[in-house]
Amino acid sequence: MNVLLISSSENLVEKAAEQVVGIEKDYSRNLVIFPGKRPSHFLRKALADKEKSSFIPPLIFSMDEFIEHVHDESLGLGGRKLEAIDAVSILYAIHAASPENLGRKSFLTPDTFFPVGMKLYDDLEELHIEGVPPEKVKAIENMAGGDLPEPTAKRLQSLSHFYEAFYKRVEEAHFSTRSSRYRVVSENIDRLNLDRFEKVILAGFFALTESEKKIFRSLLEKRNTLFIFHDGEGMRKKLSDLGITAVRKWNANEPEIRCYKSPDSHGQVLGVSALLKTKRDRKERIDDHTVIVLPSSEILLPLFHRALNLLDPDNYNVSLGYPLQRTPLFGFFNHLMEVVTTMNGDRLYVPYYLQFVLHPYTKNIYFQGRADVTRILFHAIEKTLTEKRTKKFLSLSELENDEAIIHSIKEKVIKVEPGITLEMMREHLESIHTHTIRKMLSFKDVGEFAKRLKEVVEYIYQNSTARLHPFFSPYAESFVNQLDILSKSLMKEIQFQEAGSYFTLFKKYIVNAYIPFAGTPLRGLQVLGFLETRNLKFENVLFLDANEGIFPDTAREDSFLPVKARQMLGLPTYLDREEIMSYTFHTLIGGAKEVHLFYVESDEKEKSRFVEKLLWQRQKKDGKRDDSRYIHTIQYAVSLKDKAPRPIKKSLEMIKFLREYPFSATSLNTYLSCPLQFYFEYVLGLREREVVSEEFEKEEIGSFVHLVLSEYFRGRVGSMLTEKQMSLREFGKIFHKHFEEQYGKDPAGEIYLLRNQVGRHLEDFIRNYQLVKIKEFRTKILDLEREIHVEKESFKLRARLDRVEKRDDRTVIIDYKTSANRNTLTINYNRVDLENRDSWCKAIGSLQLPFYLLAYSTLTGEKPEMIDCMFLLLGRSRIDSDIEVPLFKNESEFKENFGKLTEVIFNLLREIVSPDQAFMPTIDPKNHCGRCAYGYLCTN
Amino acid sequence: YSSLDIRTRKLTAEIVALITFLDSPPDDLSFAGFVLGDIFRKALRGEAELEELHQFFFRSRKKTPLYKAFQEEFPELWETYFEDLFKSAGYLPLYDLVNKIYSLYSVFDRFKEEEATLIKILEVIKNFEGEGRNNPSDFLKCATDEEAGESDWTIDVPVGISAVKVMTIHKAKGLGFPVVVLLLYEETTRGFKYIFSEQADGVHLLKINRQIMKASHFLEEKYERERLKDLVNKLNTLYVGFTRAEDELYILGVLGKRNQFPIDLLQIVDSRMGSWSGPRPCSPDPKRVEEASPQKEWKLYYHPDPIRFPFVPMEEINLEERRRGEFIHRVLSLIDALDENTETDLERIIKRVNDEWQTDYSVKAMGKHLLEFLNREEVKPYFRAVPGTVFKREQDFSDSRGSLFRMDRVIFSEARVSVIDYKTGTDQKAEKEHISQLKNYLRILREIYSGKKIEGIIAYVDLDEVRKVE
Repeated sequence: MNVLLISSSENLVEKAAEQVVGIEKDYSRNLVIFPGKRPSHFLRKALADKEKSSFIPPLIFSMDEFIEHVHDESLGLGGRKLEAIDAVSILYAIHAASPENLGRKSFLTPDTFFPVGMKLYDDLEELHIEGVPPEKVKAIENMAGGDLPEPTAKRLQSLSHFYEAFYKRVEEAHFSTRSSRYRVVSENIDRLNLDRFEKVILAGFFALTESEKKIFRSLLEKRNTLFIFHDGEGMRKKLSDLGITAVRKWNANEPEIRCYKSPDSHGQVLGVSALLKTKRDRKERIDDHTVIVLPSSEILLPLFHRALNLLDPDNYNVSLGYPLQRTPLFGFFNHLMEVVTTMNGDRLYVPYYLQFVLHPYTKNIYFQGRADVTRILFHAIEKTLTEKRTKKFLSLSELENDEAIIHSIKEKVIKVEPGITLEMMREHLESIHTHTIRKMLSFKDVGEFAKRLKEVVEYIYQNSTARLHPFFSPYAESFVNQLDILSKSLMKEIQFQEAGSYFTLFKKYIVNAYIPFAGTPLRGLQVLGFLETRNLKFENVLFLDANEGIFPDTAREDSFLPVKARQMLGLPTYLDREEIMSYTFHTLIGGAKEVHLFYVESDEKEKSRFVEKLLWQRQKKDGKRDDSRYIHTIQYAVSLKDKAPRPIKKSLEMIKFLREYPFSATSLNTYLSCPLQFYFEYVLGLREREVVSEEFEKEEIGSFVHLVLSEYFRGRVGSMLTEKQMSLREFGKIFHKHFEEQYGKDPAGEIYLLRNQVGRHLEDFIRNYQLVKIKEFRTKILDLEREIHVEKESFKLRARLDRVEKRDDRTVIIDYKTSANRNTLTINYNRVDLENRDSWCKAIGSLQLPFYLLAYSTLTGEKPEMIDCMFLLLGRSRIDSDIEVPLFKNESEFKENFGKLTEVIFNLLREIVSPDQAFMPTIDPKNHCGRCAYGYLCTN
Repeated sequence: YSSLDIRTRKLTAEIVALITFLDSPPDDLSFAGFVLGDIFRKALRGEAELEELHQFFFRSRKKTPLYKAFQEEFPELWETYFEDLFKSAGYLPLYDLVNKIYSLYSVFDRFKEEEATLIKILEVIKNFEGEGRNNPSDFLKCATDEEAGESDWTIDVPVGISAVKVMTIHKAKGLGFPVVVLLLYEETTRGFKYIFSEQADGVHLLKINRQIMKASHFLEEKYERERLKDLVNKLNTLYVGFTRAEDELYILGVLGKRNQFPIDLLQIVDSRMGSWSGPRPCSPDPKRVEEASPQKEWKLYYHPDPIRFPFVPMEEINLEERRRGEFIHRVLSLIDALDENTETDLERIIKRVNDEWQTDYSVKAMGKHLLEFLNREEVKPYFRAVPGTVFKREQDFSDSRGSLFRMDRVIFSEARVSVIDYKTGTDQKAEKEHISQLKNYLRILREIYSGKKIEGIIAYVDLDEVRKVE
């Protein structure tokens, strides 16, 4: 019999090497077929070891390659080999033409259909390779005896329609898919002549599809074939399916198995690092007899950085697919997509524009061989756009010609870089826009979209620093390949209404794409995906991510066919997949001497059922209930200690500086709440950088409201306000004029809501507050946005008053607040104790109004008692007289407290300039430290 | 944030500050924040004191960007600790950048006690990259987003180790412990974000509070029902808390100002229990103690050197040129020997390969080009059918280490073996490499056909040049 069953501890590849016939270093009269590609490298290696010289190797195929070879060369069928995207395109055409299409009104566009199409294609391919006739799919409802729920039955009906129509079209057009090739080859296998080979070896197969079984049965009859099977769990059943009865039994090899539980992925990698280090220290070999198995590729980069860094790059080989979605290029595309899809007409949404141009790949595009110039350019643009950040939309030409941006470029680039002219910078900016954003604004069809996106990748590749990273080349190449496939696919002529749909299709398409980290085989330690280990034997196995959900990957069960239907149709189910995994895993560890199994154990993750089973077998053998004796625990040092903030002493230079410093109410408030914060913010001048954000910052709305109110009242300064003057129509005009300038003409979404909300609120302010006050008092506005600089008790004070007016005979200083919370602004006079410094911070919400009062009366000479100060809370939901938050409620409160507050202000100022008084931390960390930007600095 | 949230750790803030600076060099606060921080100062070997750095920032407060001033005043420090990071921030993905920072500042060595924080930062970035986002600014946005899932940032403590476990009642669902200490605080009701109301005309989300509910009976009823539901949920949660203990349960209630749920309930329970008798600890189960085996801790290793990737950056990606090259190779591989039909054969082959590869190379132009090549005097002999000569196209050979080499065309005659290697494109920069590759082929052939004369030629198809290598 031409069947050889070997034990799981034997080396399958070496067994195959023993069987091939070589004459004078020529093995070309042998054909060897393995399930996958990888064993071919090891077979050649085994023969090389035997020959100790160069040789002509056997013809070695993976099963897919063999089928392709037979299909194209032996049967002479050829034709276009469909990619998944081509298949989806055909399925979409069937879907669009179908009267009862799947999902009815859903999935009507190619981008929405794409994920459904992929899933559908997978199911159809399975049905086809298993040789399920379309009638059987149709009949499944009856076979189930009405047990199938209606939606499932309907889904199956559409599936049978797709099944029939799809392969009909494939055949008519002389296309082929993987399954159709297997089917055709299996149906014509008797025509295949393999007589030119002395020996045909099929080695390492386990689970077979119906098409493969047909092929195998036929090949079993040939005189020159030899089948080598690796014994393991479930193998005998598989053999009996082929009519082979296995007799011999082996004692299972028992490798040394060690388990490691880790709180996260990195723990596993660091565990591997420790093992490698031990081996290295013991001078044990770390070569191709050791494999690190990664069932999930997401751990690959941690492995590179934290374990493989021990080894010389020539001493390891990585072979597995890495998802394109995890690469920085994908992130770059996302940003480009966001810029294009959020455009309002020809205007770009500024936050997304900045996000794109500040992406490392964009801002490091070379200008005359230098990347720093572009960085400075885009940061200068960022600064300008941040300054006018209420302007959320701008067109590219507006950006390129904006006066403020040009000024900023002159300041930041032209002034400091001799030889660079403004013209050069403008051209550079335009060129970047042209090669990226402008290129992606409109497309004729999917083909053109893919072509242009490919050009963007090539532009970044050729013109930015991106390719200095060794992985960028494979990333870029994979993207370009995928885009090339897309541009040549049957989907290339599809057109969309919206540019966004092209990007959506691209994203859905690329999600399924992987970079083949192919590596150089046979070079040192092997880092392989789980399936790559099939048929290979390693002495040391380091297996990572042995977790449920990954190994086995339970989430991958994604089919239109429920398990019951699959069983009835004879398709493999999750149980079969698990069986394959179990077999592969056990043959892998069965051939090893040492096995290290790593897994994550946390609230969300648990060890793989395969590990659980191994542990249980061990427990049974040892008669122990507790499995922890077999498991090493990986854990980290955790520190939850915090350092206390440290006072900072003043130098003489600082004191000199502070004596000259023009204090504002805000700076004083800062000092009051935290002197250390004052130090970092005002003495060192370190401030949080402002950025253009997608959301409306409170400050942004505040500035806008201040601007509109100031504009509205500007023409009324100096004259007595009348009811007639309080025109809402005029207010509306001013409001809309400024809103349009800042946010564009036809706002949508959040901006639309903001416009309506702020507009209505401010109208309420005119109607329910301002008009009421005019009726109550004779009101004359004295000043708007008044800047004040005064000197008092040798301290320089400065203030900016929103509005100063006369109400009857009293002067009123008004400060607008867009918030609604009065608690942070008021002063609890009862709690202010001059003798107790700590009480000030707790009792005083804000020193702003007393500070203004002091500064204004110093400037004008007016008596403080004749001046009222108040905040107007414009953010309150109801606008009426209650929005006022006065500094003093009445005269007696003034009399009792003004002196006290003046004392507080000057005491604080004296404290600030005192050489003996260090900058201390806040006494109220609970309220002040939570959001402090200097929180991590003050403990240094 | 919870105290296990790494965003509360100073070290995290310093690393975030450095990433922020590298992403946006004009960010002076981030730059200063890092320079004044522990990581930078621990890396210094007496080159600058903290006081000196404070003085520098004070003196430079008007100079922006600050890093330029730093570069001028401390050129050596800049070169050692920032220059390389600054340059590589333009192309390193975030995960690589942070690893580079870790190596440069030897953080695992210098902050051993913060191991969990340092690892968690890497873990967060790794997971973040899984979402298809991996540039620093995206990460920074997420790091400062208070609404971002706290659990993503929380240090993973190992489960199953012998230690007191601290968890919420919610997390304790389904678990049991010999001893449970339940810590209860008074709960404040913050109202409901919205109340779900299903009516004939569809679903409504109602915003109702105590004030609003007074407006109608309908609203009051809705609110009360929701309140009751909430209370039942709370009771259920409390039930879970009370039933986790196997042997001993201690309940500590912290009395608040309002005597509200669940403290009010505890008082009722307490009064019904009668006199307070103090804890009655259960005696330990000797078997359990015996069976517990010592934890096998595994000592981790942090190799100090950064990774050297096993890939060499390519000069350029010119897919078109490469594809054309592969196309020509494929066409030439289908030509056996020259005869009077070669021209038509070539056209047929080009059509076939165009069809196979979905390409549209001009049959005429490509055919003419390849025919010219094949008719060159130096090339012809290798394509001429002579009795006793065998051609092998795309023939696999293996060297003595098992590496595979596919030779474009090998010609076997009685006394000689010749190999042709086709090269396409007009770039001859790699000629040295081509010669070395061919020499390797010759070495392989010599090992196999030791008695024969071995020769090789490099045929530059597009340059109309042929180079013989002995």
